Amino acid sequence: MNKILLIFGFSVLMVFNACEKTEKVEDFPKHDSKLVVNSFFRPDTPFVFKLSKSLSPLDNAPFRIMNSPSAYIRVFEGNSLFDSFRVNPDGVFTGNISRIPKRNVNYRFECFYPGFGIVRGEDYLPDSFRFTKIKGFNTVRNSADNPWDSGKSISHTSQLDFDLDAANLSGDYIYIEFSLGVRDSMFGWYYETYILPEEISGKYSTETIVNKIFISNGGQKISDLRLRWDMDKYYRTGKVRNDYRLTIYSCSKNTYEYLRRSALQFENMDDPFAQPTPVSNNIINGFGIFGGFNRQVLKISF
Amino acid sequence: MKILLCTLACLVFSSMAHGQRTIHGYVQDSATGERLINAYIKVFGENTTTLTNNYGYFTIKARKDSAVLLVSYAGYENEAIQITPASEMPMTVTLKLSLIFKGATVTARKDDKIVNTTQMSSVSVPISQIKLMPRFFGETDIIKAIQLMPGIKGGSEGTTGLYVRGGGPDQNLILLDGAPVYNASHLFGFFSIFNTDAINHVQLLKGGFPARYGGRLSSVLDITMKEGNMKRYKVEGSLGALASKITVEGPIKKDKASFIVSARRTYLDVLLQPLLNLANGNSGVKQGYFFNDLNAKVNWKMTKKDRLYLSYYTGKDKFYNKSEPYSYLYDGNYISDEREDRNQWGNGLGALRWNHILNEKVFINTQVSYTKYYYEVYSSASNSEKNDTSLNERFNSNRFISGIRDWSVKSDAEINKGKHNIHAGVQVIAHRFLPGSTTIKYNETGLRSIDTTFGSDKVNSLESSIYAEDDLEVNSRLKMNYGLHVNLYNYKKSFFPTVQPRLALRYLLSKTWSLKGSYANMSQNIHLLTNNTLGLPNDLWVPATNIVKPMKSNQLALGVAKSINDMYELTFETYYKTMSNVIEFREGASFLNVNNSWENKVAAGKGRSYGFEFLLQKRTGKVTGWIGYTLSWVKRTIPEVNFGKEFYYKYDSRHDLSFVLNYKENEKWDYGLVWVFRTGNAITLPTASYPSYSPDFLQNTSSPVYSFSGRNNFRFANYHRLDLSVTRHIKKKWGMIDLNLSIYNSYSRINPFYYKVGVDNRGNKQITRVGLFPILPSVSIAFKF
Repeated sequence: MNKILLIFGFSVLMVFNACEKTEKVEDFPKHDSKLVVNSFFRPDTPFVFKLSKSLSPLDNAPFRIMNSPSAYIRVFEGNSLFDSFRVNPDGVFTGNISRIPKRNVNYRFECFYPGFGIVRGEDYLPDSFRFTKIKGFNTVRNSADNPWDSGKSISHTSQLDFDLDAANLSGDYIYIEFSLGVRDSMFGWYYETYILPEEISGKYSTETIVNKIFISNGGQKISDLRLRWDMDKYYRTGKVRNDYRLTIYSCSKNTYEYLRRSALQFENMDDPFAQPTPVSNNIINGFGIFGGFNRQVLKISF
Repeated sequence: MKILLCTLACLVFSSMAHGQRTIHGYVQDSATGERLINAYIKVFGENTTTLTNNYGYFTIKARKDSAVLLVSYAGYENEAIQITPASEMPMTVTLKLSLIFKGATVTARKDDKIVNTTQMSSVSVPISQIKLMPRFFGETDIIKAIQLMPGIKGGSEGTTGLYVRGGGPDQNLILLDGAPVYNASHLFGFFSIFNTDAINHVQLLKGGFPARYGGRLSSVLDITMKEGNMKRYKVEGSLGALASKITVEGPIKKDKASFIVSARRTYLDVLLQPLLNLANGNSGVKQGYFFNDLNAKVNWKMTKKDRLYLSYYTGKDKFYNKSEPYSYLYDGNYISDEREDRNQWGNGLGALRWNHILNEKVFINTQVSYTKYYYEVYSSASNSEKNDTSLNERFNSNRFISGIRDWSVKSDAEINKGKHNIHAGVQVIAHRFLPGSTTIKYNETGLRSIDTTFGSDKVNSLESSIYAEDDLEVNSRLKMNYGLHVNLYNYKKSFFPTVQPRLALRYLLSKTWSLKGSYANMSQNIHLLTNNTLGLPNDLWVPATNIVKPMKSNQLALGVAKSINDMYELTFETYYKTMSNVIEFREGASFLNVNNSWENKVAAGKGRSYGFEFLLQKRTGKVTGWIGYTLSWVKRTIPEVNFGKEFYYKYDSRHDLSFVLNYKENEKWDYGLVWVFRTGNAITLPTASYPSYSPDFLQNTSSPVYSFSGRNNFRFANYHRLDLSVTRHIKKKWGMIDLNLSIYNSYSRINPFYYKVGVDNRGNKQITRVGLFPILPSVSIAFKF
């Protein structure tokens, strides 16, 4: 019987010993570096390209700016050469100031960089859109002085209604970056906030990523949009000044997908349950983004 | 419906021309009265064969009034029964445990069942054989044994997942006494909920589904509990490293009614509590984990033609962490804190079944069953501050609960008409889903309290099905099973009807060779949202909806079966399966993101799998076991995933080889060996990183973009392990003791459980492979009397 108990006790100890064992993976495939070409273009600035080199995901080195003076970039508008330029003293490939991209036009580029094959990309600059009407309100539901210091707790409901120039929006990709501008007078913090999908109404398709609302994926035309949110905030001493800022992008599909997916990838970086998010890449023979967009900023103070 | 009625009418009328002797009755164990499922019955001198059903009942035609029945069953002596015109029906055939192996329970069978039946793609491992296999933490496990069969994969290391012919973990219909089980695992999937001491029979179908089965795409795991000893009281139990169990069975009234009760519980929490008290400085914190099971069954022979069964199962897993109120004095205030966290999940089911022999040709079974699965996470904290003038109390709690509950009524009839063996039946299932409800409470003295619940809506759906199938002996060589399963699924105001044809053919090439083929069309009206890694209980069952539609599949299988010297069974099978509306999480979707409803987190698409399976099984003699090999491909195409390109499923594994060996040296010693090899599962890892770019500043940002060459673009390292066991049987005056020593993963291979991207001590990025179980010996002691 004693032997049985001894064996049994040993077995229980082995159960406790069973725990995870870790081994470094040594045979991870070697990375073959490619040229990274990043360029967003819009209708108020010339083309700007930032070049770098891709790294292995296990590489600790910082990303290197690629600024060889013998490298050059050619941009085509349709089939005609639109601009051609080399790196400037800041290490950036910037187009001629007189060569500004136009809306509703296709652009493509070719990048010649020593040691890499020709890297290409293509995209278009979509038309912009206009708000025909913006309405909003802000209701303070509760305002209480904090007994611990001279701060204040405020709960309020806000709502913004947009009427959009729908005719220009067909097939466009739109997303909104939303931030609540509460400037804390002590530290000057600028808070960001969330809008949940159920707090938005209107005809649109949406995917919310933190404070970015990817609101139209090109499949639907938006004619009206309502954003409504509740806010509970505690403000420290001093003057309280609130404003909401909405940065609204109407962009090409490539731009939209790049921004949506990279934001999602970044958001899920530390979430072990999140599915991997590949970021779309429209650079042939390389990595990066070549995408067109329009940008408008709305600042609503109250 | 018209098609089904026509089929039924054809079946009945075409069979009326025959007029032969019908022999029917039950096959049971001579010592216990336990009914024997899938016992093989053959009329001597004729080519007529049949199997007993899930209630041990059979019906068979003989050409003459007098005949000899040959009856065989794994582990029992064969019987030849003389039937005369005066033989009373329904008859009871009793089989004795094989004398050679009595007590040690090694399977012994000599028959040609594998060659003669139309059913293909069927897997069955006798419980007696499962008990001889090497154990994991001292526990025998039905599902772990089934995973060693070709075409079936277990998912992650050590877990009890079932991935059958490329299907997902939700595509298995797991039935315990006819009632579905929604979560068949304990302890994150490392153990199944099935207590082998309470189980009589296990069968898994991975293709060639007869029309009587429906509701899932990939497999049917049909588990039947023991009925209880009709002759005498019997107790058996075991002490393992992790859990102990005890089973009591016996007659309520001898040969008339019996019962069985079996219970199991882990005791890690009890053993660890003193250590935790020491670690926590006896602060009064109680924390731990346990799981338990209770199986119970009563059966009653009401009349010679009627029998009633009542089955019950309940089981749960629970993590808990509870602190006693902790008080202290701070700044003149008496402060008291208390905290409770728990995470629990479990199943419960009950089934009432009534068998009735209407006449010699018709056997009817009617069943009412209830099943539920729930999952709960709860945390609460309370705090009070008290001084001479005031009392301030705070309480907050957060509770998440999800689950599914079914009520089901079904009635099946088995009709034997000459060369036709017809099954027909109806079933109605009422589902109620709670996909996920969160309740938040907050109370504070002097402030407005909060008590709010999100997502509390329960969702109802209704499934009705009707089926008919005929196992027809066309001639001495050709036998076929054909049928229809019609299902009508109703969710809110939407109806999803499906007509699912089934066909299985067997052609005898010789007495020992047969050629088999099957086609099955299946549909499934529920989905499981799972993280595809651990068998975590936070998997959510959800109904098919207008957005996420019912899944459908078509499977075609071809194979040959051979019986070698009545000792070996050899099967080769090849299959091709297509699936539609299979779901995957969208890119970036996460369980932790509560902002999105489940419908927005998933995307539906197509899947296909194909492969080849080989099985050589030996069931008789001192050495028993099998060699199984699978060569397979599993792929998915989801428009919103991997940019719409086809990708390998996470559990795609090219080669899968298993070798199982049991050796009985004598009545005292048994030895077991299992060796498994399989190609690693697929995993998504980044292949490059580069700077991201901001449109606001036209600058590269500090956060990198990771590039993936595709979904599931890498492979885990190959998986292999060797398990060994030795069992000593010791006879005592009062009964029997079995001592088992098992060694899991004998050569301590670090098989990957998951991969982790992180940094080492020097800050260098690295990918590490994390394995859970190195060499793991365990001892268990079983007794019975």
